Amino acid sequence: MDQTSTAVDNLRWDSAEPPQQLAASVAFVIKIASASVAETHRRFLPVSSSTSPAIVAAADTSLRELAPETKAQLDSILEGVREELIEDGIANTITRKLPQLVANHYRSVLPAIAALVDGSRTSSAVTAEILKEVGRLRDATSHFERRWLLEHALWSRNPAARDGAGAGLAWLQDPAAAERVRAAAERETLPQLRADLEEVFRLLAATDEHGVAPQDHEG
Amino acid sequence: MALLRKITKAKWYDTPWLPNGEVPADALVDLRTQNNELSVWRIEPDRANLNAVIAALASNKTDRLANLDYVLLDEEVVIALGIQSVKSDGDSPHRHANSHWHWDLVHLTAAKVLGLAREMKRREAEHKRVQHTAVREILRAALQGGELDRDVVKPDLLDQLEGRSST
Repeated sequence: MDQTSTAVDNLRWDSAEPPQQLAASVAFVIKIASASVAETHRRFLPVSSSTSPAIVAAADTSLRELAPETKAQLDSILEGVREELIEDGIANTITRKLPQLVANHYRSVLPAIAALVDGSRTSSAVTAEILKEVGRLRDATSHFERRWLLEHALWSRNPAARDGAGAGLAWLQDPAAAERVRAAAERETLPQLRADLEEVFRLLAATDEHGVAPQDHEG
Repeated sequence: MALLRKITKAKWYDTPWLPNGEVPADALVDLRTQNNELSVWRIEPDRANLNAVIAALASNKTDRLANLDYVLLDEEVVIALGIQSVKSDGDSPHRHANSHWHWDLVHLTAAKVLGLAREMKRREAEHKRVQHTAVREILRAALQGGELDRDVVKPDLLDQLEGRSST
């Protein structure tokens, strides 16, 4: 029953199975993502030291270990949310604490979250909530890596992860993700989830390169 | 008539271990009762009041803008389960919706709640999501139209809707 006490224990990237599997998928996704990264940055992101192709190409961030204090913070969030109701629009430990943790340690925290999602180590509602928050939080520095994580989660076997990834990408409002969302929608077997992903695709496709949707002009 | 209940869709998906026709236990959180009653909203056959109900739910005790998930269930299904409903006032910021479309399912037993959950799960096609962008537009229109009682809407949500905060 003590799921969260060990939730992040296995997130050492040099350990055996799930991380290995993840590392392979990370490498795969990054390889694909890197191909379009220059275009993405030119059209959408202000280029900075943290968003430059060099940094992104060096996104072997997935191979980093979580520092003990960062791991403790992530564990604390997962522990805190265990007793809470997860409901859209209602604040919880994830919405209160995850943004700061990601902003401060995105290179290690985002791969850890990817492993959580891949390993189905959290409840469906928590998984979706984390991914929504990853898309929602405002932090330009980690934008590309957050988009990568959400795109990665679109292909999860866990429908709650695909659900959260779609909602997260709707918040991220990066039109560069539109085609991946469309592809995920085409592949989706659950009709209700497919409809949601199609809606997110329409939203992203209508979003301009500044991340402004038609109905969002005033920001 | 259809009955609408706010849910969180992520709790309702099948998992690999879930037997066919069963409901994940976590989904029952979306059907938590008070005094053996469950709050629902009646939606007109032409769904003309749907946006008003969405505005009521999306502004009700919410700390911030978010997408809104809901399930629609035919009233006949509820009747077939032996569940009674009574008109009651809602407590959302939307006064008109509160007085016209809010109902309670009453005298609920655990078996009836489970029956309701099974029917909701069976009708997954009626699990809907309103994306946060659409929720924002609906709420802004309701605010501008004076349909929402500003005093009941949480300040942080008001700030987001009125552009004083982006998150």
